[in-house]
Amino acid sequence: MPEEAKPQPLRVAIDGLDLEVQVAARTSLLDALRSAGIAVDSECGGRGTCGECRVRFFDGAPPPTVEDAALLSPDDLAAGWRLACLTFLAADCRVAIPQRVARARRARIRILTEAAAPAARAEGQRRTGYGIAVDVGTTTVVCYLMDLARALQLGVDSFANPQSAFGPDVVARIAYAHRGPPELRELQRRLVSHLEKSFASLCRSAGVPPDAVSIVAAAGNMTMMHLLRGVDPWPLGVAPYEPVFMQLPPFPAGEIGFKRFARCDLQVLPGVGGHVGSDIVAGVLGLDLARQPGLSLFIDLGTNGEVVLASKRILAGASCAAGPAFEGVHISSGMPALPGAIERVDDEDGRLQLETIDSLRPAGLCGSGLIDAVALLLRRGLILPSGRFLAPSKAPDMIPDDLLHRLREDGGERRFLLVEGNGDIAITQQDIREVQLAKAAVRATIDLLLRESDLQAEAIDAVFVAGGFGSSLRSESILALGIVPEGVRGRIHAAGNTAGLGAKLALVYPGRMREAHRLARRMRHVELVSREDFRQAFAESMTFPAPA
Amino acid sequence: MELADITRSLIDGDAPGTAALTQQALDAGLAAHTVLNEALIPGMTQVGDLFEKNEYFVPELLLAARAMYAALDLLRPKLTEGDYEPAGKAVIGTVQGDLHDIGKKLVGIMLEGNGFAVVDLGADVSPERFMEAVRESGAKLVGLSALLTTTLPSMEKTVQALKELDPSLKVMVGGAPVTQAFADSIGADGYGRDASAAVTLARRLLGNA
Repeated sequence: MPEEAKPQPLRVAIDGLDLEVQVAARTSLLDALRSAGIAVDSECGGRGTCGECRVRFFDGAPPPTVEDAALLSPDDLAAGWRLACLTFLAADCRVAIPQRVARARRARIRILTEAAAPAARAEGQRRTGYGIAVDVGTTTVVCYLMDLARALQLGVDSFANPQSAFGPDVVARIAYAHRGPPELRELQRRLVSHLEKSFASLCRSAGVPPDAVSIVAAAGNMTMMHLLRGVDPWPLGVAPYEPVFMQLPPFPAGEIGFKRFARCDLQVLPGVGGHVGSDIVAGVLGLDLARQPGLSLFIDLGTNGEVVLASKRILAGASCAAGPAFEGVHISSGMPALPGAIERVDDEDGRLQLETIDSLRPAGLCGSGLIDAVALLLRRGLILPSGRFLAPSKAPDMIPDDLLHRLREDGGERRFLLVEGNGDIAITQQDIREVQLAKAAVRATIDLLLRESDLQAEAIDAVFVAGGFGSSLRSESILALGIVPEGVRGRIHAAGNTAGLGAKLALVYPGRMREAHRLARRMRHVELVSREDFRQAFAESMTFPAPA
Repeated sequence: MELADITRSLIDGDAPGTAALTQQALDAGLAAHTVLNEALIPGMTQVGDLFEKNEYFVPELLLAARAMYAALDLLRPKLTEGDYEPAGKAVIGTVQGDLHDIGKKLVGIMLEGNGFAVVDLGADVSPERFMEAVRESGAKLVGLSALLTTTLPSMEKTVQALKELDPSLKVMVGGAPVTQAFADSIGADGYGRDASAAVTLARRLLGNA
């Protein structure tokens, strides 16, 4: 039986407050400070974008993250300043928290890592010139222009994947691509022409001549990797759901239709097997999970959910068809995580509280808002653990009036109104069923991966949740729905776009690209969908945990 | 002891309770087919209604199924030919290339719960295996499931193969990417949107609605 060395709790000494906090390894410093009762502002909710939670390390500073480098100057980084929200502790440390944390001005130039920073991970040689890292998502594509020699991020651009017109999910794209070579070429051409436009605009904004871009590193799920290369991904769509290739030798971008950037060396990060693609390898690389003594659980809550168990000793990944509920698709009032989407739902003194992205008028419900809302309904007893809505007439007295009057029943279907009037925003019984299916797929995958490795949830030192909703996702709500086991409470972190992070590292440091290949070979792909124990776990996981 | 108690216990998904009550009924001299027809089948019909109304979901349906099978295990040895005739016989399976099993399994449960004899071939089933099972069982009804857009062509191929084998064979289809229009386009005899609808459809196709 594989045994994970249970790391000792880490000690965080807080300068000036004469206080020492003990925390589990891989806890975010922000969580650690909050758990010690120290209020730290974080306007962005731990997303690493506002810079309010900056703290200064005197000892044990971890290597700066991309977000650190984006918001803090090289001098600050060298002096030990970091963002508490995205600093996942790996060693004892001593920190100071500024009394009044001034909101950092966004640095114009973003830095990936700063070699001079104390205790930074020793990165190998860098490349020279300019490069572009690409995260090809099924829904969204993100491109990062990098100054390779200085490891500087010069710009970032994102766009909706133009292939969406041919199907919202990978299975629909696979079916379309398989119609024939013209369809396959069309999917490739659409993506490449948008990439080229995005590259050109990044270069223009940063004043970099397109000819100076010599290398592109791309990560994406297995289907996106195939469509980018122009390879019919059909075998991924039928049992046993295996890819045509898992890795590709680097090739000139001109081979897949790039024109201005035709001479760029295109390096696609390697995938693992089945639907576990290079976006997952990039995530594990970016979060540096496979070199830690402690055990991490990495979850990508996309339409295709992926789950990885990672440590120095264990590296196993599985994918599951979670369905698009967590991305706000197939949900009656659902929408992607765009401005106006309800991203947080809570109640205060029995009154419903909603927060939308950019504080705009609510336009719909995105994944994190949906998860929050279902958690609230469970907590207040408006839905039962079976997922069924209470009959409004049978609701017990203890349910606050503001919530109860939002529970409606028309035409036999029950729903909960979040926003009333002019295009109601509501959660229907059917929406709850979609959430149950999605969460059961993810949870069953987690449980089976743990079982495979002979481990309990309690053995997990840190959980990282990646996905479109990033850090607006609340660990409390993820636990309330039972998406992750109760045993990981207190150790859940939102990880944001980890595929982009890994692609950037592999772009700048050839050593990290080699590491990606080693990771992909090391990671064991666990195929679950055909297994009877998975089916059983899936069915059992559809029920929600009883509220505490 | 009332038959209604068995029905209630089944709807509540209480397998030990349903089995105990069924045993009591048999001990009291009730015929096995009476328990089946007047307690279990009405119970599963109600479960199907609750499922269709979205009040019950997969877990409740599976619990009710467990209760039903616990009772059926007691009844089967006593269900003699002659006094018991199944509502019909059906072969079901998920088509080749598709490993998704649960939706099809629910269809099987609801069919059995409504008195059908069911041969469940599992998932990733080739047209040849479907044909073989039809020949062996003499079933006049086949249910095909597909959960992926990519396995719809496989469903079409299977319908064609079955219709070639025996044009009078009734084929019903279902699954997330399947629609009535798709069912019509591949020459299937019917489309059921869920497990409960599949039962109504099966009855209609076999002419015993």
